[in-house]
Amino acid sequence: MRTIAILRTELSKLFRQRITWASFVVVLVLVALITWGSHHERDRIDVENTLGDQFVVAGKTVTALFVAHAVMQVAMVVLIPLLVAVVVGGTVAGERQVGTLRTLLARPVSRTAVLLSKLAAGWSYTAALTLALGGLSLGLGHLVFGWGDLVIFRGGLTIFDPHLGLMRLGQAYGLAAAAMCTVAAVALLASTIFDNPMTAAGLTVALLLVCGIIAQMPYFETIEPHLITSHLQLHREVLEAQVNRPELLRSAGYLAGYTVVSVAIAVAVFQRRDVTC
Amino acid sequence: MVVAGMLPAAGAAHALTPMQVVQRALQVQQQVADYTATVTVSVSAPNVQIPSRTMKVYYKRPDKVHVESEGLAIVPRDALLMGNLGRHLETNTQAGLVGTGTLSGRPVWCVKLTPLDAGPGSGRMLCWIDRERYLLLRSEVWDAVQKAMTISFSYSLVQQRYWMPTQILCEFSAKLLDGSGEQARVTVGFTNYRVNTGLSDSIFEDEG
Repeated sequence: MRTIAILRTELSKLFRQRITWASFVVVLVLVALITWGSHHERDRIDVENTLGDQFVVAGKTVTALFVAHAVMQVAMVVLIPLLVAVVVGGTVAGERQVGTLRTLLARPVSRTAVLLSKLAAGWSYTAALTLALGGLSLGLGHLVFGWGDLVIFRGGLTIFDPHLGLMRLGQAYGLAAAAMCTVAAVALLASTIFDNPMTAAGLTVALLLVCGIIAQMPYFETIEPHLITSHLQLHREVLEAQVNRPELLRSAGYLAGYTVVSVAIAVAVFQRRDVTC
Repeated sequence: MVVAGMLPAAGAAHALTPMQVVQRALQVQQQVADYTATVTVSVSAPNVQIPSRTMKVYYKRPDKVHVESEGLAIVPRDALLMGNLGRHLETNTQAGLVGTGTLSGRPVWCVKLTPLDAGPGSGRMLCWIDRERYLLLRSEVWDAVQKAMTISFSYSLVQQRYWMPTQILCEFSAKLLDGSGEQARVTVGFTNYRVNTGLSDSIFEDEG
């Protein structure tokens, strides 16, 4: 019961922060901008213009599902990891900075329970933010463009009918939320190590950027498959016509590994942290 | 479809010139002023995944097409325009007989259409035309060096008067669709034909 009470407290604290709500506003602005851009550029995006006059193209290319996919492609690379790092990175370091962590740990609950509650709250936020991204883009996309197929241009052309497209997009957003939970776990680890929330968030983002840069360098190609950034985009697997299950499971395994290791280290560090000063 | 027993042009004896053969085929097509049909399209290409689509197609001579489809559908224009012989004749004003033979059991002429000022880099079109019904059974559109598209037609008699395509197979380089140089196949099936019903131009107003 105490654990549930702590979790409720942590959720309440996290969702009362201005930065938490500001991140939802940022997501809304991004969705609105991409919807506007898709509307403005829809003639250029249209399949008919890509194929030329040898083909007759009927139906819409830009639909609610198209917008939800486009938003996901853009947001999952930097924006959502950044927001998750900022919010979750402040959960421990922020309290330490303002001095409330000492009070919190004076209560008769284990440090592990406190940290895991913060992690659960962070994961709730991460899932809510990712799903809000999907929900808002589908809603706004539906208002502007209506319903229709999911058209994906990546190494070819894939068209899913609306039912299958929605199902695949739902799976993709679910996997993206799970991948972002790994980022949240890394941010929590940084938050237990550093006293300044911005340092924790900054180093989490820096880690992702460095991994991303290393992955592009030919002489690091042997370690590239093991980097966290090589697996954060696992949602793309379910947006292929044929889902590559072994590759999907491999990425899921890596992300689970990164999560478990990050949380284990975070617990170990938090247990030993001196919070008296 | 298999081309069998193609004879060289010199061996073929007939009264019509190659251009007259193509003109006769065009006249047969021009009996159809308009049509509506239910069309099913399936696309097969290496990196392309498009579900099979059924749509309603409206055609009006010479080249107006309107397609009503619930989902996104891609159809080669020439398939809906019954080979688009009229447009190819506008750009290719020379006709030469390549040979005669049989195609899918039908006796055919094979005619090559080229521009008047044809050089080594010019495009061209090969047409296999039924010698008895003057129907376009197969066409190959070539650009300077390679075959751009092959279209094979199967016909049946509609309203006991008009020979209309019931199945069209289009083969072309998938480069346009997926950037690869591999072959793409689009199969177009036609049912529920209604021919020469006097379609209004307003149906086609949204089409560029």
